[in-house]
This record gives sequence, structure tokens and C-alpha cells, in this order.
Amino acid sequence: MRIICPYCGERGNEEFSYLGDASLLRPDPAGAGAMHAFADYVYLRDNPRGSHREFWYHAAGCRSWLIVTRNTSTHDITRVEFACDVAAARMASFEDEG
Amino acid sequence: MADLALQARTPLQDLARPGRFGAATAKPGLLIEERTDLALATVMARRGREHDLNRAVAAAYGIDLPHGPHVAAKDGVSFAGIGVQRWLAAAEGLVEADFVDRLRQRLAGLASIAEQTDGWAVLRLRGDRVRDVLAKGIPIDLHPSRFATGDVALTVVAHIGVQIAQLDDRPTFQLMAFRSLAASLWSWLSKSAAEFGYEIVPSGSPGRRTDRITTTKRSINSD
Ligand SMILES: [Zn+2]
Repeated sequence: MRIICPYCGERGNEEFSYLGDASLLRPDPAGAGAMHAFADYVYLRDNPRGSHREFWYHAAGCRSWLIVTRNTSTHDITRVEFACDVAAARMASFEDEG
Repeated sequence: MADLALQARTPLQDLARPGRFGAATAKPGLLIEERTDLALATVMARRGREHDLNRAVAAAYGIDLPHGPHVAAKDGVSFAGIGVQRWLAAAEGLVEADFVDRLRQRLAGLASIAEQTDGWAVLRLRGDRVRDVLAKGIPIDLHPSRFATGDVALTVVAHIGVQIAQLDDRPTFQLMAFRSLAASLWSWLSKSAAEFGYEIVPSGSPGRRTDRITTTKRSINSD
């Protein structure tokens, strides 16, 4: 499998480390039901077939965190984004909402 | 303070001694030079100051910071893109003995500077078979249509993290690895080059890094 890093270009997956589902948000440790929320966040991951947004770290390259959209049954990669850009866009949308 | 009997050593001093090695080919397929004269530092832009950083580097060194994996050089100073808003700055032949200190002053408030000078083994590689040697370990395509003069890549060779750059059209490549992995890199390089015959040439530049280190040591001892 090869990933097109937006900084480095196309590289083999041996240069990257995989973290997991990029759609989850870390629960608030001070929030109500935090223990249950963290158990769910850490252990109860889905294992979907098909399109999946997931974190990859370009450890042996530019050291960027990436969000890769990959089909888990075909390994087709349809999108690669810098995780920091996605996070910045999410922060901006929170601010827009109020 | 007691005199310290410290001796500066280059990363490959005991391994890469000048001479002709490997197969007895008519002409060495690879020429290897350990560069020991480069002052090195990483430069990381501070958030929101990227534009001012570009301007400050242009004013101080006459260099447009590359945005992408490329290297820009002028008068022995270079900036190589190694990540988003991150560069490796290098000064050859001790253009300025206090290059990193001056860099820190000139870019104060705009970027974080980390001294790297003694942290890297730096090799310059050229010769008729240089691409054939590199192809044995570098997993990226170095064909001239895909990797040209001025291009930089961070990747791995034999599980060792490296930076590679093409410096000129001859072509000359610069291969760098963390100093503590220099012997492992050398093991891969010397074996990969053996079938073509290789020559280790003395560091061609006037100033050696060890001279500067020795001077620094003396000034510490004289305090
Ligand atoms: Zn990358």
C-alpha cells in the first residue's frame, strides 16, 4: 500500500505508523460519565468495511500527522489531508457556531 | 577547571578513511566524501509568523525559503524543506563560525532554532554508479525525471532514517543520518558500493568542524 503524503509525495506504508479512527473525539475527562465515555473511546472501536477516515503518522518522512480516507476492503485511498488542517477547520466551525 | 583530554571525532572517522575500496574496477563507480565542515540547525516557524520568517531569511541570506521538499542555497548557506514550516539550515566551510548563533539572533521571535551541527553524519556521493548504489537502499525513485537537482527527501535506508538531497546535475547527492547510526549507514553503503569499486576522498573544504570544536574547547578551558 502506498500513501501520497501532501508534503513528501508518494511513499510506501513502511514509512508511516497507523493510529486508528480519525472521526472520534477524545472525551472530556471532567465530563459526566467520563469513565464510561473513555472505555468506549479507548476499547470499543468499530471495524467498518468500506470507507474509513484514519490517522497515519509519516514517521520516517516529514513527521506530519495525516488523515487518510481508505477503503478497508480494497485499500483504495481517496483522500489524504494534514490532520492540523482538519483540526483548524473544525475549530473554525465551532467558533462559527457560537 | 581541570584540562579535559577530549578529542573531536567525526562520525565516520574510523570507518571512512581515504582510499580505494571494493572491486578493482578501472574507475571507481562511487566517490564518497564525508563532510565535516557543515554548521547545521533546524528552523521551525512560529505560528502566525511564517510570512515574516520568509522575509527575514530573504533579507539575511538572499534565499527564498522553499515550501516543499526542496533545497535553496546561496553563498554556501542552504535551507532544505524537511516538513511543513520546518527547514534544515546548513552553512558550508564555516562561512560563519557562529552561524547557528547568528541564525538564532536573526530569526528571533519568528522561528525556533535547534543546533544540529554535531548530530549528523553527512556524506557527499557522486560517480557513474551513484544512482545504482542508492537504488539498493533508497525506496524512492531517484530517476532524473522524478528527483532532480534541488530536490530533498526524508526516507529510510535499511531501516535508518535519512535525508537525501540532489545538490547538482553531475549528480552529487548528499546523504545524512543521525550520528549514532553512522556506522550502520556505512555498513549498508560500503557493501552496496563494493561491486562498483569506490573511493573515499578527503573532505574537500578548507574549514573542518573539528577545528571549531577544538577552539571552543580551548576557550572553555581558559576560563
Ligand atoms: Zn510526509
